[in-house]
Amino acid sequence: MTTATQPKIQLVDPTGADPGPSPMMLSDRPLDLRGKRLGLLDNSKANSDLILRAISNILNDEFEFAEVFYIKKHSASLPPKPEVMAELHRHADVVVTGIGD
Amino acid sequence: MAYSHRARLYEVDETMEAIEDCFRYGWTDGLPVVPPTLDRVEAMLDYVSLDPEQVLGEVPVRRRALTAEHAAANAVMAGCLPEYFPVVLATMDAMFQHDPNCIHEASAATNSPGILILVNGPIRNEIELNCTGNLFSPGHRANATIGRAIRLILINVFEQRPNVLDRGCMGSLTKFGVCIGEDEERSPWEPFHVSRGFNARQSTVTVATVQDPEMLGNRYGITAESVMDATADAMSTHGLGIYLNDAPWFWVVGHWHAEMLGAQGWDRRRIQEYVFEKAWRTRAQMKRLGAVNGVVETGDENTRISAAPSPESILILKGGGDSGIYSELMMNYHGLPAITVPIRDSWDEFRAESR
Repeated sequence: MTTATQPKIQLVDPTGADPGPSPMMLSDRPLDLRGKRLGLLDNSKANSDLILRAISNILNDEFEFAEVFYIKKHSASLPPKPEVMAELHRHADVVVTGIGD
Repeated sequence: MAYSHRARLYEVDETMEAIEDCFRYGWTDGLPVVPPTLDRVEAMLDYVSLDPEQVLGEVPVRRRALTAEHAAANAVMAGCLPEYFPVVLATMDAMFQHDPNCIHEASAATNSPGILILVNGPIRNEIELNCTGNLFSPGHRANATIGRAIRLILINVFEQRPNVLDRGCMGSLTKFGVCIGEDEERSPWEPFHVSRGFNARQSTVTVATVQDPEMLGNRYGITAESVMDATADAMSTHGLGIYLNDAPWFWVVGHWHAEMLGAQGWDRRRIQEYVFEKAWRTRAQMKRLGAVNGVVETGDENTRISAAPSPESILILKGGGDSGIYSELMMNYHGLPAITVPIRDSWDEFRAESR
């Protein structure tokens, strides 16, 4: 008995379209933190402020920041709103962020 | 962003091999899928007259776009018929219209919300969507596969894979998909979407991120107040509900509860106001239970924390069977706060706007 050759089944890849390399670039890193303005970005989880302020105190002992600027995101899992980013740009040279809970 | 819009194609010899390949490529939710063959995907697209490369929306934080072809491939894999596809597209439409990043937000959340799809209007009957008995159970193709299609889109297109970008801690059965219809025909109230300003003949989806549903078993109360008190009691003790109290609630009122409320003259607005007033705990209680941060302070014993942010955020709809005397309660979690959008008859307007 002979069998006809079955045509191949074509499967459509259901995974997302990739836009290619990111247009975002990292800022230049400061060579020295001494006297810089430190930003603290709270991700809005409970106790995020505690850990960030503790880190800030440890860093401040070593680097004596000109200013420590604290601000909070509106949601832990969404990017900061543009006005929050603008405030960070205005008040901070470097930023520490992290999660609490 | 510039995307390569057309999906890649893979060739296989036979169907069982294709099903196993889908597992191997990581394209499934853990259950076997219908292989997304080119002809099935084309049939899905033909039904809504969309070109495969049409971008339906983008999620900036994920840097991924959903094309019509990707949506169709995932709907095929979920087991959808082409006539279910408009509901799948409308659900994604609701997310994109609210905030595309909510797709990431809903998956990143450690408390594991699922996506609720509530369908109203004539399409419920056209696609035989279950609105009554066993509302949240398996057994109805439209309900099961529409909800599943959304989860597969999240997994495959936006890479919300469990324990990678999906950071659910305990996880949730709702992540298999929750698609329900309102039992408009046997409701004492106007259809849910009509209460939100839509015409009764317009089919809609209401989409929300929800926590696990909780069954309400007031079986022996004979007054509307008894049923509403039971609901308020469940809201006030429901998981993290009060701690979060900035999101809506869904009360899917079961048949006999709805009949009692309706017969005793309770409309949506009065029910919402009554339940809102009753659903609270003190801040002191919440602190002792670890649901609110901090130690109990002066005044906490007398400070009420309401379960809902407002009466109108307690969303009331009729659903489920008449075999018992139950309702269902769901807390809407952060991400998508019960957005209602029309199910499009035609995508011409969308195409014109997105050009």
